[in-house]
Amino acid sequence: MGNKDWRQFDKILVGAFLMLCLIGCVEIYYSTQVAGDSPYLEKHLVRLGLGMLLFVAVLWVDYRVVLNHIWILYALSVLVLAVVLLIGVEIHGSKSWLRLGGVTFQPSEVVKLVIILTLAKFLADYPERYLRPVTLLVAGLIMLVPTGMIILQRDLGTALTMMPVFIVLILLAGIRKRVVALAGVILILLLASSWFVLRDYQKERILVLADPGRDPKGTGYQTIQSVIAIGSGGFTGRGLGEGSQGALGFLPERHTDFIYAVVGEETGFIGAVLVLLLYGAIFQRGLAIAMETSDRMAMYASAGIIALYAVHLAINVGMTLGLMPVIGIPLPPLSWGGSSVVTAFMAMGLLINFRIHRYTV
Amino acid sequence: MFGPSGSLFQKRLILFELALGGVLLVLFGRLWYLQITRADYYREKAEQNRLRIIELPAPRGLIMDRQGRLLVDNEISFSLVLRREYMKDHQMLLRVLRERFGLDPAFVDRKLEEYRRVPTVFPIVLKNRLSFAEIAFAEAHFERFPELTLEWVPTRRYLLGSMASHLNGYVGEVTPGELKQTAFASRRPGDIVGKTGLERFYDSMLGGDKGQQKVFINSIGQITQVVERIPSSKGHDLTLSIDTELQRRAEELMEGQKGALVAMDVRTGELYCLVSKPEFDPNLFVNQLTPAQWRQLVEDPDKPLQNKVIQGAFAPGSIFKILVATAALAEGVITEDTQFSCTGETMMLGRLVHCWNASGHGAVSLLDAIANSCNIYFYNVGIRLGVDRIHHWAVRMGLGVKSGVDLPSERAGLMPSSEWKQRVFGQKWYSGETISVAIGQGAVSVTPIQVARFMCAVALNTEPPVPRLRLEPDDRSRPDRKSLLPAALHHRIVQGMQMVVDSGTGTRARLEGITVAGKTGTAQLINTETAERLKNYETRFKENSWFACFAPVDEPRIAVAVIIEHGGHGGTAAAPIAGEVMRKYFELYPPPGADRLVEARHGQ
Repeated sequence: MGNKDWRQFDKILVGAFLMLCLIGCVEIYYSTQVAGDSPYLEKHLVRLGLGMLLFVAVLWVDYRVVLNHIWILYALSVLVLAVVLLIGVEIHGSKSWLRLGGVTFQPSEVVKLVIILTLAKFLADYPERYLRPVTLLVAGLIMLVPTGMIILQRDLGTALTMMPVFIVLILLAGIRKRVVALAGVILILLLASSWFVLRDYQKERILVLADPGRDPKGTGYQTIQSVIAIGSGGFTGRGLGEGSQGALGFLPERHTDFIYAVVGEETGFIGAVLVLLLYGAIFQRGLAIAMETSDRMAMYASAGIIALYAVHLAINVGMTLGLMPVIGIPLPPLSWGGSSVVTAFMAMGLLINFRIHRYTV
Repeated sequence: MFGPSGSLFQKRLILFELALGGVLLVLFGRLWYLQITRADYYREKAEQNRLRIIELPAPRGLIMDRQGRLLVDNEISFSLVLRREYMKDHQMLLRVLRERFGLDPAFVDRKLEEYRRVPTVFPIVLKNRLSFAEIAFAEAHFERFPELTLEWVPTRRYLLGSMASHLNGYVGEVTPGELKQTAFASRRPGDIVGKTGLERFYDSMLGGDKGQQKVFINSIGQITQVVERIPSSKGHDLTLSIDTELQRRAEELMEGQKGALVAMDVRTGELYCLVSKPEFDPNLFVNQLTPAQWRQLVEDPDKPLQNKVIQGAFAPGSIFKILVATAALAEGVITEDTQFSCTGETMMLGRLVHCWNASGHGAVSLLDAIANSCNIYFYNVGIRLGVDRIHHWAVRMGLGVKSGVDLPSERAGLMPSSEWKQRVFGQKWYSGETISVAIGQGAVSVTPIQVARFMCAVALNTEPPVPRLRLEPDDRSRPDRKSLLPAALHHRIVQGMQMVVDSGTGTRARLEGITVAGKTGTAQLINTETAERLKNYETRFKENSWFACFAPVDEPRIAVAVIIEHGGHGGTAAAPIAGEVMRKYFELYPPPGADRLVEARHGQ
């Protein structure tokens, strides 16, 4: 324990991640100019610094130590979510924030990592050819308890990202075809019934996807402005700080959930594709770690982490490109938003951790 | 690695990786579509998003008097403008407008309703001439109320206040109804246009051309860059024939009266002063009039908004006798020596008619009839002439027809004729009706400017010039008009009018050193019998007092018409005012070799 093979430190993974951080900083800087001198970039840099510290901290401890005690963290997470439900602060309609001192943060972001690690540990502990229904049920509960609490915090976006991650992990563990079919039917029924559960504004967001002109000043407005921003970027972009949509403030949430639209507008097709390629590199390296590790726990965990960020990318970028409904989730590490950026650093730390402890027992 | 199932996991992970590759490919494809295929379309969309065209109001032309003194100019002030595209909280807006800008919510809602069909890019001007506190508030709360913006607007300033108010008129925001009129065809909602008076008549000339500014704005409407700027061009200035000093003197003389006064150049028709009382302050209209103020102006029985010089139609009374005399001489129904006997009252066409002088004037010649204003004489002449010949000559000399002055909404008054009676009442004209027409009563009604114009015709012995307010270059060739009467007959009429001023009913209009020809008029509003029944009858039935004149007799230059409503006898109420106006005129524009006049005045 504790022996680290630093030669295994994945420079490509970390390099791509840091590049994304840098692009995020630049676009946060330019997209917040319209509001005058604002502390956005400075704050973001502070969070990046905090993220790096946590990244190093995560590296330091052998992941197996953490994973073997993951149930403690899991219990703690549920407890924290309960506290948020009781005394959380509401921001943008979601009561998913805790305020400690002058700092507000969103525990659900870190909790997502804990859920993935817990599932990884659980699935690794029950190595079956195909998941037995009981195992599947328990895995489902592991995911659903905290996710349900996040939904109660009216943070549907964050909760929604967990679903695909769970499915990826289950499929990876192995599941009978008829169970897949059954799950498919149940999923469809769930989706259909969710129409009655969804709040009006959430339904509106889905409808607007089909017809963005439906409500040009409301939900559709964001999609329209975002698509205009990206489209007007063209091949080479309009130049940093020159994008009228972002810099002039026509695009709402431009430095948070819609930052990819600012990237697309100011750096054009080149910049937008570069961001996709950097994520691609992270995915490829992350999955390589999953493939190369001899530890199933690490395999599940790294695949889960990659799945999580792939979901963020697909939903967030899909939303800015007008392919997905407007779901308020960030694009870490580009977006302005402390909790998600810091969590992303920790996730990267975990991936490297799996790798540098690969051969050590 | 994973033991027996290791390769299985490998396979699943590769499938997962492929799925991720698929996701990235979809996003890539969409990027290609948006940024490569449709880039131009979206670039244009983005441009439209931030491009705004802002109209730059043009300052209206200045209005000056004939000496170049400013009557109307512009000042730059801030207006509060509502941009409906940024409106969010209606109730909040109404509240802040009421509390901070003193605007009645009902007024704001009415404005919004008025503009409902107008595209929202047209801003609504809510209040002009903001105070410093209001400007500061709007500036400081731009973020909270992006729909409320400030606009630099050149606003009209009427330097003389209520003086010459009817002449200048006032400006205001063009109404949707006015936009349909051809005169305002090029105007857009929100434009300031002339509503009455010269502002209205010369609106297209004074209005100038609006400029425009193409700007880029940000999402809260702040201008980030000016792309193109076409400056507005100021309207053309208007120089009037009015003389401010004469106008001021005339207004002083008319102060507290109800009525009208107009003085014009006999030869050119240029108007020197134009007074209608009571007056109003046009500056009130520049700062949005409150509904209460508007009601007060409109419902005032003395009609302060009416320009009585061109819109007040009154019976001319005895002034009309000059017209009847001219017509009779021209038509040859009398000669200068024709006499009629006046006994104070007599039966004519079955009616008992009176002269104002109950004891009668005895044997009356034309000269006496004019100088003493004998009714009986003119009843006889009128019957000889018949109404249609009176009508013909009245119209030729400018009575009962629009003068053509350069002001809007002029009224024609009424000059009856047999054709008119047939047309309007479907009845024949009775000779008996001619009796009252002959002394300027009955259906006859004229405006003060017509009377002044008529004086020009009498003075020149030709058809009268068209009165003008806009001063035009003097080289304008005036057509040589045909004489109305042979010189000798004309001279006789003028002589009679001179006697009116020298020794008759109009002596209060006499000037030292300058000969004046004039005629008084005392127009009844109710007939004599009724008046006698109503002893101490109310003021509102008291006669209108007229005086019309021109001077100097030998080389006529100025004609003046004055009416004082319910002023009683023309010689008492109207004549002195006309005299003072002429006195001022000759002081300002002394006739050649008129040092005598000045000395005489100093010697008084």
